[in-house]
Amino acid sequence: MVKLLIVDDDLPTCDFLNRYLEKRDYEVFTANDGESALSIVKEKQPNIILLDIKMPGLSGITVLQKIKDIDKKIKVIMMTAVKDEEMVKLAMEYGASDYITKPFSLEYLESEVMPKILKQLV
Amino acid sequence: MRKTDLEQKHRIRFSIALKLIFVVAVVELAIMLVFTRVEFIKRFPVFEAVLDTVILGIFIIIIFYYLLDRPLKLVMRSISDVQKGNLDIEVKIDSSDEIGVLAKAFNRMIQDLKEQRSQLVDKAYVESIISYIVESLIVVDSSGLIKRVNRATQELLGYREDELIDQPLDKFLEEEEILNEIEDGVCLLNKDFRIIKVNDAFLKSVGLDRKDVINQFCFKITHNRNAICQPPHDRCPVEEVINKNEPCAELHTHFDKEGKKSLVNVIAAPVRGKSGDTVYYLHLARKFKGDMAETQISPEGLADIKALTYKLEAYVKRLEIGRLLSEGALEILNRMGSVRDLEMYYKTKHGERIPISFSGSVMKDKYGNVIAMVIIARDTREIKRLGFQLNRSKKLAAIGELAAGVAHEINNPLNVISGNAEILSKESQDKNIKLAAKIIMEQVKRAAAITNMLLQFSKRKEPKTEPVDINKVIRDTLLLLEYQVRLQNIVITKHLNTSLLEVMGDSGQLQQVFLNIMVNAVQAMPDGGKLNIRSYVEEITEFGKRETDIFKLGDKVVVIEFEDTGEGIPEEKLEKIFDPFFSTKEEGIGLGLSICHGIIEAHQGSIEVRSKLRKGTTFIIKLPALGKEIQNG
Repeated sequence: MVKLLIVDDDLPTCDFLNRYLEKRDYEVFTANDGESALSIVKEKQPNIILLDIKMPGLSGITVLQKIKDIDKKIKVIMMTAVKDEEMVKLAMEYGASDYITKPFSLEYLESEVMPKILKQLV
Repeated sequence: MRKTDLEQKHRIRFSIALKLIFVVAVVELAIMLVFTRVEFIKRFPVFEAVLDTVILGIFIIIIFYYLLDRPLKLVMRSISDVQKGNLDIEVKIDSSDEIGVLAKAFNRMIQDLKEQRSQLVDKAYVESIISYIVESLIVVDSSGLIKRVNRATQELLGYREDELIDQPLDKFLEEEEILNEIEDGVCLLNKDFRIIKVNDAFLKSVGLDRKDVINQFCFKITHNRNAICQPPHDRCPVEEVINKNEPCAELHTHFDKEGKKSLVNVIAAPVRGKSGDTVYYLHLARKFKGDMAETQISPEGLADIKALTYKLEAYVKRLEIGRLLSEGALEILNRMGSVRDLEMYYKTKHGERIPISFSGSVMKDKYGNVIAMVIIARDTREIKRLGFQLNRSKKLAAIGELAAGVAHEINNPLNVISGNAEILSKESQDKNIKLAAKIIMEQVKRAAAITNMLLQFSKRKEPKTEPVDINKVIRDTLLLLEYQVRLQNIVITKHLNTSLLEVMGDSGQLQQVFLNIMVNAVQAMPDGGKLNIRSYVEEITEFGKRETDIFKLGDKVVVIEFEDTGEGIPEEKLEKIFDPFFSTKEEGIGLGLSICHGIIEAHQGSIEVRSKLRKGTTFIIKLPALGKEIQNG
């Protein structure tokens, strides 16, 4: 089963994503800040991470860099509440696979974003 | 001939004359002595007498020449010098005879001439100083009639000098009159119940001129009483206000100058000054319509009055208290001796109201009588415009910051709402629940669109800079609108200049601007109409309202005009049209045009709007042109 980590400081966001994705053949972990995200990465070695860009403490970009330091093969999808071209460009440079802008539809995540990522995993 | 030359020559001639006289006398004496010894003369004594006479004659002629003829010639020469325009002459003849008197008179005359001439020169100098003063200058006499104007005044007012001279200045001035914004008859009273300020409606209701009511007691003007209103006749609402310090109302019967009665609700309210103390009393007489006979003010009425007193208080605080005390700028000036920066308006020949800053001082003679009032009026249009722009930029910046923060905070919960709704929709079999969830998701999309717009607005991205063919952008934008346009029976005419110059910019952003303006135009013509789109190149030869700090004279610009035949925009809304969150449309959120404004500003261009009610609206965009013509026109 594909292991998926959701990192967002917004708890309800983690919650609904968790509820939805759990039922769709993912083993889901959640983290509400960068530090705990990194320890889960080390512990559970997730395959895909949904990572919020703007978080208090370690920023999404920093967490992304650290994840990539730990394991380059982990696919990271950035989530942004505000589409910031510069930030997105930076994230892509640091190895993010894709990004989604809030509010996004689960349908879009499931049928557009995930299949591409899953293909890369195989 | 210079003065010194003349003097010297004159003196020299004189001393020569004396020497000559001396020499002649000596010579004659010698001749006489010689002759008395000459035999020939002894034999002919007659000859001696003749010789003597001849010598004496020569002697006299010489004396006359030097004593009379020379000085006369000197004076004559000086006169001819004066004729040639040289006044730097003085004839120095120190004798006390007629010639001396003549010389002195001549010198005095020259002196007078010189003074007159210098006065003339001074006057012309002062005249040209006055005419070259950039600010409008007006001199009025003690009765307020215009006696002098300078060039700036004529240019500003649009009248010729002869149309202004001897006209009352009041004719061309308009006070910043907030009381006139009120339909009811309003006056402002001081603590002694004297009328300080009135509006036109009040004057109309009493049938008197402003000058007849100012400084008069209110009870005299409205009731023809000689004492303050008291029960059992009428209770004075102002007195109530003085006691209670809050708005009060009374039903009064007012009389106009012909004695015609009218029943009015008089509402009085305190107007506080800078210190917080009541400085004036508002007295508002609203025609009694039979539905509000009580002496109570309705809640809405009270809110109105409060709003008005706040406005008045702001006005009172802005001006020094003394300046509100009298009506009319000239009266204030007369009483104060000098005023500085009163905000007023010039009424021009073309019916325009030009905001001015009015300063002046009173010129008095040594007995204290007013000779004239000298007034300088500064055109404050530019200052007002800059202030307005500054305000707007400040507002935009603040809103931008706020918007960015809000958008971020709102998008997270929106995401959660739509996500949960989506889960609900997928997991429920109930049609109604599925529909409800779908609606929630749609509405989230709508809200997200608004936050996106806010974001776009706050970000003010630097436009891409690439050469843009404006005509192509216009044509592309029109494609997007085709359907709507056909549906609404709107005829679009394009006058796109085929040799248009390119502009530097971001075609995507410019398209957004054009689309926004065209959509507005289409919405303004629900029953059909015409939309004219023009593009052409222009050289800036004069500045529009907002262009002075954007373009230089001689700049080449690409002009794009969108002219619709829609319902038009009322004047008071027109100046706010680019303000964020200002919309003339009921369902608009008021960001479209302010985003357009931001985009055009980022393109170093200008955007202006002109509108006539029921005639239509025209948007004019000017963008700096590149040297290159667009390809395939």
